[in-house]
Amino acid sequence: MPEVLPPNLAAPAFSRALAAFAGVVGAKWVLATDEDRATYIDPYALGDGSNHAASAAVAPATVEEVQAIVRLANEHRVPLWPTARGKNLGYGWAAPAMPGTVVLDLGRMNRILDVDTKYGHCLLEPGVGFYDLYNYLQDNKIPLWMSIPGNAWGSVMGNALERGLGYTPYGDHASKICGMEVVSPTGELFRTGMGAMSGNKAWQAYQHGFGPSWDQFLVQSNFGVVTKMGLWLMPEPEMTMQVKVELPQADDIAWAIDELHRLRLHNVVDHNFVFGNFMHDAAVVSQRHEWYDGKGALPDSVAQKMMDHFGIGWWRFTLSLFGHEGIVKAKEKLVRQALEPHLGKPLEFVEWRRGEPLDTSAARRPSAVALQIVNWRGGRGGHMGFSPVMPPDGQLAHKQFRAMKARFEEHGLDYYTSFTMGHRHINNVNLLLYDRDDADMVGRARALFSALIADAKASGYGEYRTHLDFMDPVAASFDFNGGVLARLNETVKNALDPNGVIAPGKNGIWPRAYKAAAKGEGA
Amino acid sequence: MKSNGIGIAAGLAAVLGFVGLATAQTAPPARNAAGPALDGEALFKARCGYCHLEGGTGTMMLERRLGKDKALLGQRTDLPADYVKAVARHGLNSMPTITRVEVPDEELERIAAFIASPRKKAVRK
Repeated sequence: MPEVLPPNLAAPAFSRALAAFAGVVGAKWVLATDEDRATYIDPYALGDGSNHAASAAVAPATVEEVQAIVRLANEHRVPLWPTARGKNLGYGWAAPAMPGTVVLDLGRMNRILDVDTKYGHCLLEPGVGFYDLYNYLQDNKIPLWMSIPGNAWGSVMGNALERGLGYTPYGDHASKICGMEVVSPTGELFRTGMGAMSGNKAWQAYQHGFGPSWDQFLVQSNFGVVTKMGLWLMPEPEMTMQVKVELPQADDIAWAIDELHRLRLHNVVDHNFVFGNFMHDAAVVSQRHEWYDGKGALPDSVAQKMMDHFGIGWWRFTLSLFGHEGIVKAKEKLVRQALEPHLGKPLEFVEWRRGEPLDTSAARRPSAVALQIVNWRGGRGGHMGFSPVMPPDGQLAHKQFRAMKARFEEHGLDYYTSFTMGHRHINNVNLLLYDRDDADMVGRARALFSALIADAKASGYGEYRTHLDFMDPVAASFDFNGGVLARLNETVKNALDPNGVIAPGKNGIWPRAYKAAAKGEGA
Repeated sequence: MKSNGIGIAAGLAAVLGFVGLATAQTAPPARNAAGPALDGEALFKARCGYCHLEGGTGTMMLERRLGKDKALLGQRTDLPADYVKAVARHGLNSMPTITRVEVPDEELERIAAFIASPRKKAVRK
């Protein structure tokens, strides 16, 4: 991994900055060898990932060390890319948007500071992973349930800050944030919400505070370094029921989304769920060459063989019901009324009651098995998510599905999709699976991604989250009134972060200091 | 085109079965242990267990590539310590790199020595 420097900084000045960082965290926690730089390269990048190569990483252990590093970054004009555990898989890993940025790795700050059983919330440091919190709750027999994303290797806080999704009623993770502690881009420490009052007893109880609310301002942004996060946890319900539903025909999506929207809107089903195609699970439990060796996208006839082999439908989803028994049973009736006339057979629910082993409950255990999809093509596999947000309408979903499938086929990639149902929206999460060592395939995947951004924009949809490679074009697709939101973001960024040291380029927000780097000109 | 082996069938039961993907992993969650220094086996479970215990995604990938008898790292005896360290820092195929923040050098030394040890008790979960 060749040496790379921050824009505007010569090697001697950069060395002085790293020495200053070492004075704060100790030489051991300034990671600047070739090997270190390579560990922060996105392992699933389109291409070699060098377009987002870090110049080094620095790993503080305390809030005070974070403040000191941020102040030094301003003094030495070194850009920092904060990351919690660095597992933003499919979106760029721990790598920075701008090459030469120093990764501010917060993984050593991994304390669970508080879990309040009575009020159902916790206070976490950035490095706390989903496994860590899960173990803590289990080991201490705390009757609170977490919401866990499909791949749970990462940080609870980091995932919420990226608007990650889980599959319980608390699955919109960013919406469950309640109070943060933040180091500003100039190194000042502040707390959001009720935490802005010293000694306040409701920091994790009330989300909004007094005056403007800053929590959501720090989500998917580069306006500060979050060092503590309050998060709400779900009280263990009295019972759950779960049902897995298979829809045999691709065109079933039209009626299904309309029915599911009604269940979701009225909170009969009160959690996000994956409405995914057969690839969602087949790409975990098998590899492509077991089915098809040809070039181009997987033919429909082969797809049908896969579905027949596994006994699954074109679309699959799992609905869960949570709560007191009377409520759950009433909801079960409504779900049956909505879906069984279409399916022509009774749904088969699995029940769980408090006190029984959790294996049959709708609670989730953390797992990294979903990462198996990167092995779909074999070799050095890669994946990247394209995820536009759309209204939960059956006809629109059907149209979107047909258009997207055609685009994937046009570019010779297998169509892997989910229409993940939110309360009033769909996150249409599509994964591009590719072999990183196949330059032609990487080129086609890149072309497909760009086509999908344009298609989504033309349909009136935009992405909820994207990979480092595409943050600028996706940000540009939010173009109301000549892109006024981007200008507002940059005005705020320049006011808060005059030297532009925190995460330049994050979600397309470029500070003045690195505006030239945004255009690929070198600052 | 090869037929689905036992491992894939087991994966199917887990993944396509009722409870769904995220609840399917049979391996216990890894521990992010704090406090006194852990030995190589405990560190292996804590730092590598996300993927490399029974039912883990790394175990599934290794089984596909090398067969069932080489799928579980905790029972391999053919991997030299230097090789283990190199794979952790550089990645291999679909396995990502592991930074020195996630697994510091002194921990990786103990993990690699444990995996390389010919006399260890097999670690599955």
